[in-house]
Amino acid sequence: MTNASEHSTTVLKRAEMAMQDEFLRKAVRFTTDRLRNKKQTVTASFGHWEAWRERGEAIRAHTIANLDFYLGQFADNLEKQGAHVHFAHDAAEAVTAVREVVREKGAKQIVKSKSMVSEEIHINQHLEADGVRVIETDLGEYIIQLAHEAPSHIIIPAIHKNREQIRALFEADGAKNLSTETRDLTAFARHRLREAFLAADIGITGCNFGIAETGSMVLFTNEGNADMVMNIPKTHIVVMGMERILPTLSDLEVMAHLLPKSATGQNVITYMSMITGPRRSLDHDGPTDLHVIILDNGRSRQLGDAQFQAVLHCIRCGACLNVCPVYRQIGGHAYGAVYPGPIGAVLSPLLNGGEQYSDLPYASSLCGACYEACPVRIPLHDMLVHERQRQVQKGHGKPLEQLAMKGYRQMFAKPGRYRLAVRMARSFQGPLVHNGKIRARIGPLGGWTASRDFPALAKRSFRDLWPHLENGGDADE
Amino acid sequence: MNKTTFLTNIASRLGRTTTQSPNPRQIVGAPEFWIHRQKSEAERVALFREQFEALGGEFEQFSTESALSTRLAELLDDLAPQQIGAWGPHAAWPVNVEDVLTSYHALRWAPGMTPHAFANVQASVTGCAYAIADTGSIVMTSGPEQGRSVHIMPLIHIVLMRAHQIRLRLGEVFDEVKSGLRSSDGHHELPASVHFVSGPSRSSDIENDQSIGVHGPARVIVLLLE
Repeated sequence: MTNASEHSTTVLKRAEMAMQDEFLRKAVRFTTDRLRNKKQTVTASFGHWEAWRERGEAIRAHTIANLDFYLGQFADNLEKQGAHVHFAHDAAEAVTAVREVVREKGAKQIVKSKSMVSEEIHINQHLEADGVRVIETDLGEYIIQLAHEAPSHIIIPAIHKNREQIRALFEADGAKNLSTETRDLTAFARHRLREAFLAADIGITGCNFGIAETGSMVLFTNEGNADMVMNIPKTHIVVMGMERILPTLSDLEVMAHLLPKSATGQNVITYMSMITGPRRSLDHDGPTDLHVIILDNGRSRQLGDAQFQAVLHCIRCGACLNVCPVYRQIGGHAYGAVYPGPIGAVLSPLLNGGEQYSDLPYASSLCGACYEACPVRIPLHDMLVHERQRQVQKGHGKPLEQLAMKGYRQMFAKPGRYRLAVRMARSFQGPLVHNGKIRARIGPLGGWTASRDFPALAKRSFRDLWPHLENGGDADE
Repeated sequence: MNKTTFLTNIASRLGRTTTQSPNPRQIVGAPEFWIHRQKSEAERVALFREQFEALGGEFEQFSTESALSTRLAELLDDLAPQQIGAWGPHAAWPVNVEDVLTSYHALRWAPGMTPHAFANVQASVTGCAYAIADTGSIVMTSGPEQGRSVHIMPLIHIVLMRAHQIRLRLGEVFDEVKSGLRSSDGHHELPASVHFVSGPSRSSDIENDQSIGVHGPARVIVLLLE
């Protein structure tokens, strides 16, 4: 659920706005620091972290490289257990599949647990337009739903809301005499959402992993709301990206360590809920009807593409957000897409194609911290470069930048030209240099010198110095 | 979109055909060094306790069934819940506490029970299928007398277990759940729900301030019989 206004602006504009929100900046920094430090502590005490990461990468790479087989096996096993499986080529087909179930059941109220893929297909808006009440039950999602906003972090969606704002939202939702104590706020949400679970006709969840060998679906949560959503209503709908597959339960053991440790620095997730089919004939609770909607929505376009296939290895932990120097400054909304941070900067343009998110790959310093943090070793920083490359190849570069690059190529092609260019630059820089730095905001340099100094060219270039250095001289002489 | 078209598209992009087996792989599951660790039962109990308590769980250990029963009754007196819930009498109880449950008029999971019937249960008593020492986890499996609602709905969950139910790592539980439950036609017949519970329900969604019991139980108490 991204605000429509966000689409019409650039990431630079949105970032500028975010930078002026002091509370947001402080909250984002505090949260990302906390998650990052906890992760460092837990992975250090767990030990052999690199070995686990390599394991995770190998499992995800094998699964995606053979996805047709494992996804087919997963769907077959689901059907054997009595689940209904729907394949959706795009968001519209997924929405249609959900709507059909909702209509068939005559459902009036739906409870949901946090799911990024349901944000991707904007299911809430569509169902609400049909007159169906949809209630988000993850505490953070519930807060931002009351505020009519979108999540700003994959793991902690209401990172940008303070307790005063939360109390005001809860009071608008019926709370009386509420303090701003976390305990009070939480107790209200528990009470309020308990009513919603019991009254709901359908529960909608995502799925962290689908297990091919058993047809099981696994959800990782800390609050316990997903267990209510999955087990209390008579009908359970799962919406999942087609790449959320693991071949075996043994592979899940690896992910059960990698995911919570990377996401929040927890040694273990509070609830790992594994469901295999609808309730058995002798069971008295659990859903009687289970629908699983498997979504492509641009994912299959990455298969067979050597540069981008690995983006489908992602297990959605959010570790790359917490270490990203750009995300840490601007927060999630500035990305203007469902998936923020480095993974979002890579994924959003890939899934959507076209121009819509073409500026996101530039919202990165290419420092590679995301790659180092990634529990399945996705080379996100390389992918950001490849995306920029492709945009230039498609002719989307700025004319001035293209001209500059052309000149650069000419200049560097021959040693003579290079020497001449450096000599000329050194003579012309004179008026701009103060104490060895260029500060003037001129031409294409402006983008750099607006916020920091540009070093002036040295009096003697390395080439000039070289004969002297080769004879054992000192550069400072 | 139909399944065949969907899968054929994936296969062709990967340079495969849908009838092809997956490429052989060297790496399956957890690393060798992790799998080959050994711990005695006493060590597993100690590790479980350490991990479970670190997550905010409460743990008590008993050497006789009667000592455990006495403590359970005491605990229920202290908590004084208006309504107690429990698995059905024929569920896989690791410890027999029928007397206590009867005398406290526990609502028992049985045919006709619904999550709504358990909505006002404040404390539940159940067994568990396994526990995992590495992560301090309790493994709950669903069944006719083991409704999921019994342990997900209440504010307090009291879990009875025996020391021999504690495995060292998660993968052992997967192996046992898989191999023990194969139906006659050969496909896996797992319980509809296998729930791995590691401590009380938690959230940090309000200003990063941790709160307990936002949806699931706020207290998880293990009573272990040696």
